[in-house]
Amino acid sequence: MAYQWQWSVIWDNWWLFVQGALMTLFLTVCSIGIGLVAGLFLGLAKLSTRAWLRIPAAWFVEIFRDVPLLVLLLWIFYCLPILTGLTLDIVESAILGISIHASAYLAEVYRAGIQSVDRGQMESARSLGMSFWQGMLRIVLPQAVRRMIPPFLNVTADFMKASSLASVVGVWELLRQASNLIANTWRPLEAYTAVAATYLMLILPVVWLTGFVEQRLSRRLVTRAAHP
Amino acid sequence: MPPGQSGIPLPPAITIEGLHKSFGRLEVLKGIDVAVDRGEVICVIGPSGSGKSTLLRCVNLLEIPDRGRIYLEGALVGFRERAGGPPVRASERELNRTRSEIGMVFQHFNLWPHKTVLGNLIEAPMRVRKLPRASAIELGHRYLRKVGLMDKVAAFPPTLSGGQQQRVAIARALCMQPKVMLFDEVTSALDPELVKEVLDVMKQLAAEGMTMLVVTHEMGFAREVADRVLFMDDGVVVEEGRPDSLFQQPVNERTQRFLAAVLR
Repeated sequence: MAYQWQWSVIWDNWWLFVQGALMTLFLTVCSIGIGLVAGLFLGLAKLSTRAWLRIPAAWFVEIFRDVPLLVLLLWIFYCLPILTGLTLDIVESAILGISIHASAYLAEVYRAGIQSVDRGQMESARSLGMSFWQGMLRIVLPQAVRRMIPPFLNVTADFMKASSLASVVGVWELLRQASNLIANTWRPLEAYTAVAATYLMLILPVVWLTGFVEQRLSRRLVTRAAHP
Repeated sequence: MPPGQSGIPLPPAITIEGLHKSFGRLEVLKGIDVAVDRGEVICVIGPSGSGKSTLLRCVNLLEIPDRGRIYLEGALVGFRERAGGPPVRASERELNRTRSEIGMVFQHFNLWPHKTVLGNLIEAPMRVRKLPRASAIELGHRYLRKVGLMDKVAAFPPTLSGGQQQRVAIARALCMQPKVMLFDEVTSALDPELVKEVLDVMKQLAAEGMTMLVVTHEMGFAREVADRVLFMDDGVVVEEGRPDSLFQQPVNERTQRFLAAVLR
C-alpha cells in the first residue's frame, strides 16, 4: 500500500517547527553555556591536589554522567520542588537538568584537554613567578582548548539532540511541537520526518564546523612543522 | 662572604640548610647543606636519581621542602619565620614572588608553543612584573640579542632547533632579571652538535657574574666554568670541591666510581 504523503500539513504549520527549533536552540545554548563554565571548574577541581575539591567533583561528574538525562529531568521537575520548595518553570527545569548533565560531560573534556598539555608548560609558567590562574588561563588552557574544540562541538551536537527529552516535562521544543501537531492532524509520518529534517538542519552545521576546525588545526600544525 | 658597598659582608646568593624532601616513602633529599656565593657557578653532578633535579626544584619552590631552610640573599624563602615556633609556609603570593627572582631552565625547554619567541619572553615580565608592553618588548629584544636569536623574534618555538629553543628558554628566564639562575640538565635533550651553542651562552652568563647552580652531565663544562663542583648521590652531597681537585683527585670512593664511569 503506497502511503499518501500530505506535506501541506507541514507547510501550513511551518511556524510551529520554527518555534520548536528556536526553543531547541535556546535550551542547547543555555545548557552548553552553563555547562562550559561549570564544567571548567569541575574539570579543574577533578585535577586538584586538594582532596576536598577533587573528591566531590569526581562524585558529581560520576553521578550525573551515569544518571540518564530523562531521569534527571523528571527528578528535577517532580522531586526537586517537593524536597526543596524551589519552584522552577518547565524551561528552567529543563535548562537546569541539561546543564548539570552537560557540565559533567564537559568537565571530562576539560580534564582530558588540560591533562594532554605537558606538565612542563605549567611548571615553566610557575617558575617565572606566574600564579596558578595566570598559568592556567594564559598558558595551559589556550593550548588545551584547541584540542578540546572538536569534542566540545561533539558534545554540543549530542546535547542539541538530547534536548528533545525536555518534551517529556512539557517544554515546547521541536519534538513536542511536532507531537502536538500529530495529535491535531494525525499525520505522524510527515511530522516526525519534518522533525528529523529540522534536527539535521540544526546539527549539520555543527558537524561541519567540527570537521572544519579539526582540519584547520591539523593543517596549522603541519604548516608550522614544514616551514621553520 | 664578599663585602657589600658598606663593608658589611653580603649574605650568600643561596644558602641551603638541612634540606629534606620525600615523595611518599621515597626520601629523595636527605639533608643538603650548600651555600652559593654571589657570582659563583656551582655544577652539581651525580648519577640519575641522586636528587640533583629535586634540589633545584626545591630552590625554585616548584617542590616545597619537607624540612630545612633555603635563603635567597639572606631572606628565608618558601616559609615565614614565626616567633617561638617552626616557620610556617609562605603564602602563594610570596612563593610566586620568590620564584620570579630565581630563573630556571629545564631539560625539555618548556617553551609555550602557542606563543611566538617574543611572546614567550614578554609574558612573565608583563604579567608578573607588570611591565608595560613596550618595556617588556625592549627587555625581550635585549635578551634575544644576548642569546643570538634576534632573527627568530616572530618564530614559533616548534619551528626552532633544540639548541635555539633552549637559548630562548634561557632568554625567557633572564627577562625576569633573576638573582640566581638554575639550569636543570639543559643540554641532555639536545643533539650533540647543538650542545655547544647552549653551553656558550651559559659560559657568557658565568663570565658576566651571574650566580648559577647547574645540574649537568657535561663534565667538560663543569671543569671549565664551575667555581665549585658538588657530587651528589642517594640524596646527599657526597663530596664537593674545586673542579680541578674533584675531577683529578676525588676523595670519596663513590665519587671515584662515578667519575671513572663518566670520564671513561
